Amino acid sequence: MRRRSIVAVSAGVLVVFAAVPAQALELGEYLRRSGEAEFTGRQVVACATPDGVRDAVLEVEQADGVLVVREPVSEGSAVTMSAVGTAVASDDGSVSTTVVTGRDEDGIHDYQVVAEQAVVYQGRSATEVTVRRDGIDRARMTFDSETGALVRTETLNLDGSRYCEISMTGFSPGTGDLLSALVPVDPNASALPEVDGADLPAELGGFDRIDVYELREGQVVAYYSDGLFSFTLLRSDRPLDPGDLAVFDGDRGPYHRSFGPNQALYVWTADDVGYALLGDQPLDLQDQVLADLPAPSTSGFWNRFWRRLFG
Amino acid sequence: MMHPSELLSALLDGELEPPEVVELSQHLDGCGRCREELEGLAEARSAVRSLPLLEVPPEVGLPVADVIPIRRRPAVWAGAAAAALTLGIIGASLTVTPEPAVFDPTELQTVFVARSAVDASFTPTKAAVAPVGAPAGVR
Repeated sequence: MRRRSIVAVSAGVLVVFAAVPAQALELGEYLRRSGEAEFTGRQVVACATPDGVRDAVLEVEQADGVLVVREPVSEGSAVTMSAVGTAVASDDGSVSTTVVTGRDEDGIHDYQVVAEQAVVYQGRSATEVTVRRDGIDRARMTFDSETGALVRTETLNLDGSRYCEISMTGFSPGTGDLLSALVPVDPNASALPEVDGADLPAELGGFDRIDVYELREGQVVAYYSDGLFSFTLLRSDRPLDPGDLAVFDGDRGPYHRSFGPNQALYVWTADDVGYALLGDQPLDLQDQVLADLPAPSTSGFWNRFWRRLFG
Repeated sequence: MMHPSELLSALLDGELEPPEVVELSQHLDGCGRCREELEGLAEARSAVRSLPLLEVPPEVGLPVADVIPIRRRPAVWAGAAAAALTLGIIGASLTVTPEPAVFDPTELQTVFVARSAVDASFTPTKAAVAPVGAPAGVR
């Protein structure tokens, strides 16, 4: 096998480009291995959003199917994620548990691994893959060779620009001290009841509706995924109070919008129905999804007048 | 994008000059928001115009000094009262908007990560959405 080597050094990451293996793994296999890995590290998140850079540093540890996330500066605040539920501990000592049964539907077939190369990430052998959907590169993901852990992710907008970069620093295989302080999931917590949700679109902007849950009376939450990115859509029978969220006046009307590290939140009202959308998809995919949902109400006075007279 | 909402009513009244009509039409071609608003205005105007016309009693035009107690025709008075009541009910319903529901972005974050955690495509990148660090809704 012909070998060519080009060495580039940047920010402590040594990258050695090597010939692409003849048989690349499916993305689902990479992610499955990553979910089984045991590791500790710090996750550095940085996203370029229309409202500026949004970043965060989180301590993470994963083992036995449990992932614990904590702020380095706040030992009392932590989130434990597992298949049996997600527990959130706050600085004030309160703990809440959310249980979602979910469906193990694999939509990863929508993405293809189109490039694969051996790299060295923080002194460790790794593999960087590029994943593509509908002819558009959407992410570059680096997996540690020894553990299979996902150590770096770049998500890409339609024009190829980077939306978010999520990198693991101080990566170390095996467990540390974070899991020993994990927040236990309340075994008596009830799962969010799953509901039909057939009145919600089966597909939004290329994302499939996977399941729908009742959050409380008058509010349902649907989970949509395209196999890599995902979002939750909250629909309320009343307008939602957006609080202090800034208003973004788009072509379709005004949304209350906020960007966080690897998340975008939109809140709006359409015909007195409240909507909130929270997801990790790149910017153009956010627009695609919103385009398939009711636009924000623009002249509520006249809409209500019309409905009062004619239903 | 600017939305010339104040011109929509004038358009329906035929009060715009031809160049203004052309410019506004071009804007409406590309703006769903204004098209919706124009449609609502037109329908509301049609609804109001479909209300029954009330016959004005002849005594209304008299000077004040000449006004004497008048026994109005019951049918006209009943129609006027019904129309006023209807408009009053409609007006009250229009001004009373639904009480907004309290929305907690952190709760939606939690549901997102909880659901992502049982997804086949779950990765630690989803954990960045967890309600630690910079929570949703907070810059």
